[in-house]
Amino acid sequence: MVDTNVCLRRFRSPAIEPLTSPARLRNGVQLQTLHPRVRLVWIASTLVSAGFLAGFGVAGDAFGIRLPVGPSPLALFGGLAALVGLMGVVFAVLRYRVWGYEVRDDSLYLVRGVLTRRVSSVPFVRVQHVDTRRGPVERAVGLASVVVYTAGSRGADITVPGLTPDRATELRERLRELAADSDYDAV
Amino acid sequence: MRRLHPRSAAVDAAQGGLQLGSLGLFGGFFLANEASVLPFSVALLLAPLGFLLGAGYQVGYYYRFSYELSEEELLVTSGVVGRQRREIPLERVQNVDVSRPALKRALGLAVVRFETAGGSSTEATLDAVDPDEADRLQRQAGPEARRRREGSAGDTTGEASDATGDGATAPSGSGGSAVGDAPAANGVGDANPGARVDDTEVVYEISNHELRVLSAVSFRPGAFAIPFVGIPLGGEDLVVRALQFVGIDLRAGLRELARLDPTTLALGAVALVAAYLLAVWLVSVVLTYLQYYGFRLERTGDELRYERGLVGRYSGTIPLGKVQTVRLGENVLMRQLGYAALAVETAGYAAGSGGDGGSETTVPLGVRGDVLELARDVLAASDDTGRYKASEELSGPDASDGFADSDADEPTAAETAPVADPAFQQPAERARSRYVRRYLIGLGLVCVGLFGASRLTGLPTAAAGLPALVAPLTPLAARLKWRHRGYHETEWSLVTREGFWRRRTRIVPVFRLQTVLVSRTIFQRRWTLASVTADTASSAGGGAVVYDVGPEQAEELRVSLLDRLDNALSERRRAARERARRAAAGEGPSRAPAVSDEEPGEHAETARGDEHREPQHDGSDAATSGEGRANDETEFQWVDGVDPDGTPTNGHHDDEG
Repeated sequence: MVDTNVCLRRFRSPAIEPLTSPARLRNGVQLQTLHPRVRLVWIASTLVSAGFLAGFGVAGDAFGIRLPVGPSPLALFGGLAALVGLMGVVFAVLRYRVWGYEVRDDSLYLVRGVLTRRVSSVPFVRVQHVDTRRGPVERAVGLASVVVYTAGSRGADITVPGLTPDRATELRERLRELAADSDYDAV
Repeated sequence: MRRLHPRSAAVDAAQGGLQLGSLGLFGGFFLANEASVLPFSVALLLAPLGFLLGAGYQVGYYYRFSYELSEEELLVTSGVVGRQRREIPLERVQNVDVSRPALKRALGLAVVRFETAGGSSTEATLDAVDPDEADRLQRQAGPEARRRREGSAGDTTGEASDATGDGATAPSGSGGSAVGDAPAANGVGDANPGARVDDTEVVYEISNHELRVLSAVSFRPGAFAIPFVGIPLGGEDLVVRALQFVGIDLRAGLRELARLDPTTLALGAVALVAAYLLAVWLVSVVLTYLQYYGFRLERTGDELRYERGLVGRYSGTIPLGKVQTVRLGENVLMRQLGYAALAVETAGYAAGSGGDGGSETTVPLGVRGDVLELARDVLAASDDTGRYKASEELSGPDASDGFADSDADEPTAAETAPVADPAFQQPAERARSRYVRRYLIGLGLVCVGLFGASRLTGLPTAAAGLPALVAPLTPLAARLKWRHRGYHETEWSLVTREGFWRRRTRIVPVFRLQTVLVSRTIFQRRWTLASVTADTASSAGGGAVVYDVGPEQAEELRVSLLDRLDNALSERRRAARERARRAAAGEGPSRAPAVSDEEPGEHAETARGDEHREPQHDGSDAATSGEGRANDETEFQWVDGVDPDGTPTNGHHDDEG
C-alpha cells in the first residue's frame, strides 16, 4: 500500500459511512445541494411515463381489448400509471436529499443515487469540456444543468442538475478554469 | 484520392440490386394480387426496376466514395445525395483493423476500419479495397510509420535507433523484456542514419497444440444460441430420439409427461441439458478453431499487430502508446492447465473485438508466465516516460523468460507451476454471506417462476422444487466467487480480478485513470460494503472494479488512486518537458532516459519558474535520469517523498494547514 503520510490532504474527506443522512453536512464534508425545484423536473419526467401508461390503458379500453385473465386494461394500466407516478414522487424527494457536490482542489466530488449510492471523483486533469444544458422542463422551472465530459467509458458524462442559470454558468466557468489550469491530459 | 476496389462495387451492386429487386418482386405481387392496386403487367416491372435502382445506387456510391491517406490525416469523402467529408487526424487513430471475411477473401477484397478514441463505433470504414492496399493503410496509419516520418525529418542517429529500440529498452534497465529481445533492441546508436530497418518481430505465434487446447477450453457466448437454430434443421429429431432412449416420449404431449415418474423426468432433464451443453461445446470448438487459426502477434517498435483466421482473415493494430488497460482472461479449464489469454485495451472501440466472448485477442492462449511477462512489457512500453515499473507481484518467481518456441517442443503448460497471486486483497469476509444470500434469493425466484409456469401449463408442480436441489451448493459457489475476487495496488497500477468461470484480471496503470467511483447498492449498504470502480478510457469492460470492501477501505482507495494519478501525471509532464528541452537544445531527443547517459550534469540547469509543484528540481530531475540505470528504489523513494540522495522532498504535497 502507498505510504499514506504523503497523501494529499486535499483529496481526503473525513468521510466514511457516507451518505445515509440527508443533511447538507455529512460527516464533516460540506456539500453543495441542488435547488429544491429540481424535484419538479424529476417528477415531470416520471409523469410523462405515467401518462403513457395511462394512455395505453385508455386506448386499450377504447379498442375493447381484454386480457384472458385479470382486470381491464384501463384498470391495469391506470393502476400501473398511478404506481409509477407515486414512486416517481418518492424517488424525486429521496434523490434530492442524497444529491450533493463539491468543487475540491483537484477534483469534482459528487454524491448521488437513491438505490445505488454513487460517489464520483472527477479529477480536473481529465475534464475535456464543460457545458451547460437546459431541457424544456428545466427551462419551464427556471433551472439548468452543467455537464462535465471526460474520456472515461463508465463515467463519461457527469451531469449536475438543479442549478439556477447563474449558478450553472458560474460553476461551468469555474470548472473550465480549473481544468485548464490543471495541465489537462486527456487520455 | 483513391477509390474503393471495383470488384467491391460489383458485389455491392449485385447485393443492392437483389435486395431492392426482391422487394419490388414481392411488393409487386402483393399489389397486384392481394391489393389489386396495380395491373399485373405493371407490377411485374417493379422487380427489375428495383434491381436497377438498388444496383445503380451502389454504383453511384462507389463513384462518389474516395479516400486519401496523407502524412497527417485520413480524408474520406462519400455520399450519393448528401456529401460527407471526414478528416481524421492520424494522431487520433487508435486501431486499424483489416478484416477479410470468407466471401470477401474469396473475392480478393479486404475491409479496413479505422477507430479513434471518441465514440464507441468505427470512425471510418473502407469497404472494400485490395488486400495489399489494406496492408499499406494499416502500416502507414500506425504510430511506427508516423515516427519514422518524423524521424526522417529529424537528423540524428539516435532518432532511428530510438524509434526502433525505444519501446523495447525503455523500461528495462535490468532484465530483458521478452518483447524487446529482437535484433534491433539495442537502442544505443548502432543504426545508420539512412537505414530504416523494418524490424518487425514476431512476439507470439499460436502452435497447433495451443490452438487445439484453445478450441477445447473456450466457450463462446454465441455458441449458446446456435443449438436452438439447429433444432428446426433436424436437431429436433435428435432430441426426441435421445429422450426416447431415456424412456420419455416427447410426442405424447405435456399432460402425458406429467404422469411419468419423477426419476425418469429428472433423467430426461439431465440428458437434455447434457446434450445441449455438448452441442454448445462442439460449436465453440469449431468457431474458435476457425477464428484463431494461424494467430500471430508481431511487434514493430511501438505497435502491435495481430493476425488470425482460417476462412476469414482478420488483423488489427494496437498502438502501445495508447494502451489503457491490460486484461488477462482465464477460464476454469485454462487455469487448471496453466494457460491464460491476454487482451490489450486501447481507447478506441475495443481492439480486435469481433464479439469475442471467449478468447482475448492479443494473445488468445499462452503459458501463463509468458502471458504475464508480455502484459508487463506492454504496460511498460505504453508509458513513454519509461517510469512504469511493472510490479513483481503480478506473477510468481517462476515466470519464464519469454515465449518459448512453442512450435518446436510443444511444452505442456502443466510443467510450469501454476502461478500464485498471494498479494491480492480479498473482499470483506461478510461479502461471502452476501453472495450466499444472493444466490438463494435467485434460486427462490426461479422456484417461484417454475411454480407459476406449472400452474399455467402442464408442467408438473414438482419441477418447481428442482432449484432446491442446487441450494446446498450455494456456500461453495459463494466461496469460490469470493476467493477469485480481489484487488492489489502497486506503485504504478491497480490490479483487480473477478470471476470464477472466467476470471478476468485487469491491470490499470494509474496514469490512465479517468474517474473514480465509489458505489454502494442498497444491499451493500445493509452489509456495510462498497465497491470502487477505476474508470479508464477503454470502452471494453469499462475499467477495473474492486468489489465489496469496507467503506473505510473504499474511501482510502479512492483517495490513494487520485493521489497517485496526480503524481504519475506530474511525472509524465516533467519527463515530457525534459524531452522537449533536450530536443530544443539539439542533443538528439531520447524518448527514454535510459538511452542517454549524460543527464545528471544537464539537469542542474533546469529551473522552471512555473514549477510550483516541484520545489526540488535537482533532486527530482536526477530521479528521472536515475531511472535509466534501472534504479527502482529511486522512483519509489521519490514518490514517498525522499530524494535519491536522501533528503526528504517536500514535494507538491505541501500541507494546507
